[in-house]
Amino acid sequence: MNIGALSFVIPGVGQFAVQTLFLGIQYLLAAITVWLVALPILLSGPLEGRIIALALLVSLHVGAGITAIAWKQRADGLEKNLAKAPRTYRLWSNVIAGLLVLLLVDLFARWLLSLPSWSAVASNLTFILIGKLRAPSNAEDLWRLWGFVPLMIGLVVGWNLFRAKKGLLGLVLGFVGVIIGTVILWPIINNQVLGGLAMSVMLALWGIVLALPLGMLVGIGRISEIPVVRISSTIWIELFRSIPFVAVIFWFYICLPYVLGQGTQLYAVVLALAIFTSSYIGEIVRAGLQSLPKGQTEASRSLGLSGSQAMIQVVLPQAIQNMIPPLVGQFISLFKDTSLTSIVSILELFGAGRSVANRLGNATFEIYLTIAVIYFIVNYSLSRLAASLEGAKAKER
Amino acid sequence: MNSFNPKNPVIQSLFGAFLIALVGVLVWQISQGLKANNIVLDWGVLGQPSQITSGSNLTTILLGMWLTIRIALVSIILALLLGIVVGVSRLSSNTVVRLVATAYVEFFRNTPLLVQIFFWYFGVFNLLPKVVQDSLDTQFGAPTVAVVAALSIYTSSYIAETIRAGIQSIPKGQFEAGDSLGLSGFQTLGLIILPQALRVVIPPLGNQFLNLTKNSSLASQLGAQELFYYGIQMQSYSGQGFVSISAITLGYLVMSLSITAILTLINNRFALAVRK
Repeated sequence: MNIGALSFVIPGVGQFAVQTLFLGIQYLLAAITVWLVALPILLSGPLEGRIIALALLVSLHVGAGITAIAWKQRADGLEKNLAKAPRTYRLWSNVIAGLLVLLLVDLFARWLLSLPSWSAVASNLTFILIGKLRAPSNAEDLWRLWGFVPLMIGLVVGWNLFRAKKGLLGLVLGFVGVIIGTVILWPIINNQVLGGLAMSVMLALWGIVLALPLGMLVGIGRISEIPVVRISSTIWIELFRSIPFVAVIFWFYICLPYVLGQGTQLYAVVLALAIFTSSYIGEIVRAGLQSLPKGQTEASRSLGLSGSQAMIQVVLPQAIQNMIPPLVGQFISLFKDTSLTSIVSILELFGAGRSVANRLGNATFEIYLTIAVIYFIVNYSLSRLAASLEGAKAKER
Repeated sequence: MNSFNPKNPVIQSLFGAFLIALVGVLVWQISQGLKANNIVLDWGVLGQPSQITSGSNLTTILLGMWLTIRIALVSIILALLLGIVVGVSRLSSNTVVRLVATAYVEFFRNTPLLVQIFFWYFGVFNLLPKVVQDSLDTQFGAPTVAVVAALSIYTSSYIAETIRAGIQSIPKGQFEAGDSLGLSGFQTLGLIILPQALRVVIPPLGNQFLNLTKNSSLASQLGAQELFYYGIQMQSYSGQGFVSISAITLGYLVMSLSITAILTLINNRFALAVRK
C-alpha cells in the first residue's frame, strides 16, 4: 500500500507523509479553497455550476492522490523516469486550477446576466457609440458618419504601403484619407453633435496627426548639437512629462479662449492631447535615434553628407522602423487619455457613458463595465498589432 | 570642409531669437485676451485667507499636496506588491495561473484609468456590504479608497510587465545554477533571481511611480481633496484661473522632480554595487 494514497481522502496529507512538505502545504491550501468555493455551489447552484463543482472536487482528490503516489514511487526508486512525478504534478495542478477558474467565471457570468439594467445599457448603446447624433433631430447629418470610410481606408492603405517600405506614398495617402474624412465629419464634430466612441477615435487621430511631427521635431532637437535647440527641446519634453495630463488640459482650457476667442474648448482639447503626446513621442524618437550605432552617422558624414542630410537620408529611415512598436503603444496611451477630455465636458466615449450613468442612476456598474470593455477591445487589438510588429522585427534580425 | 559650427554664436542667437519671438507672441496674445476680458493677474491671492480650508490659499494647496503624497505612497506600495505577484505569475509553469495573470495585465493596461476609478467607486464600492462601506468611508473617505484601489491595480499591471521583462533578462543559467544547488523554485526566485532582476527594473519602475503620482490627479474627479481638486476649487472661489493652474503645475513639478532625484540616488547606489 502506497502511503501517498492518503491524499485521496485528505489532499496534502499524503504529500506530508511522503515528506514533500511544500507540495503538502500547497495541496492543503488548495483543498480548503476549493471546498469553500465548491460546496455551496454543489448544494444550491445552477446545473452547470454543480457539474463543474463536482468535477473540481473529484479532480482535487484524485489529483492529490495520484501526485502523492507518483512522488512516493520516485522516492522509493520504483519509478526510473525522474521527470514523471513533476509532470504528473503539473498536469493535475493545471486541471484543478482550470476547473476552479471555470467555476468562478461561470458564477461571475451568471451574476452579470442577473443584473437588472442591461436593457437600459442596450437602449443607450448608440448614444455611447455616436453621441447626440443618434437623436432624430440630427437625422439629416447621419450620412456624415460615412466620413469614417475614407478615413479608415486612407489609414489602412497608408499603413500597408508604409510597411512595404513605400513610406512617403503611404504617409501622403493616409493624410489625404484623414483630411477627406475630417472634412465630411467636421460640421458634426465642431458643434459636438458627434460623441461617444466616434468622437474618441477622431480626437485620438487628430492628436496623433499633430503630435507626430511635433514629437519628431523635439525628439531630434533633444540630441541636436545646437545648445539652444537642445535645451529648449529638453525643457519642452521634461515639462510636459512631469505634469499630469489633466493639468495640461486645464492650461489650454483656460488660456486658449484668450487667444482664439470663445467656444474653442474642442481646439483646446485637441491641442492639449497633441502637445502632451508630443513630449512622449519626443522621447521615443530620441531613444530610436540613439539606438542606431554611431557608425551610421559617421559613415554618412565621411561620405560628405551634411549633418541634416545624414539625419534625413540615413539615420531617420532606419530608426523609424525601431520606433513603430513604441509609437503604437503611445497611440494606445493617447486613446486612453482622450477619456480625460470628458472633464471639460466633451462627450466622448467616457463622457457619454458618464452622462448616461448619471441620468439612469441605477445602472452604474453595467455602464462603466460596458465602457471599459469597449476601450479594451480597441486598445487590445492595437496592442496585438504592436506585438506582431515587434515579432516581425525580431524575425528580420 | 564643413563650415557649419553648431556652437556658432550667430546660429545660436538666431535660434534663440526665434524661440523668444514665438514665446513672446503667445504671451502678448494671452495678455491682450486677458485685458479684453478685464482680468487682472493677482499672485497675492495665494496669501489671502482660503474659503475652502483654514489658513491661506497656499495652505490649501499644500494640504492638497499632502493628500496626493499619501495616496501616491500607499498606492506605490500596493502596486509594487501586486505587480511582483502578477509578474511572477506571468512566467508560472502552471498554464492556468499564467493565463489568468495575462488576462489581468491585458485588461487593466488597456482600459483608461479614469474608467477604472469610476468603475471601482460607482460600480464595485456600492456592491460592498453596507458595514464595510461605512467603515471605509469614515476612516479614509470613500473616494480615496476607490482611487487607491484603481491606481494600485492599474499601475500593478504595468509593474507586472516590467518585473516579467526583468526576470526574463536574467540568463537561464542562473535558474539552473539555483536548481543544481538544491534550492526549490521559490528559493531560487526569491534568493537569486529577484534580487538581480530588481536591479534591472529600477529605472522603469521609477517611471511607473512617477506616472502613478501624476495619475493620482484623477482622484479630483471623485472629489478626493488632493492637489488638483483644491487647485480647481481655488480657481472657482477666487476666479484666478492662471494663478490656480500655475500653483497646481508647480506642485506637480516639485513632486515629480523630487521623485526623479530620489530615484537617481537609488539608481546610483545599485549601479555602484554592480561594479564592485
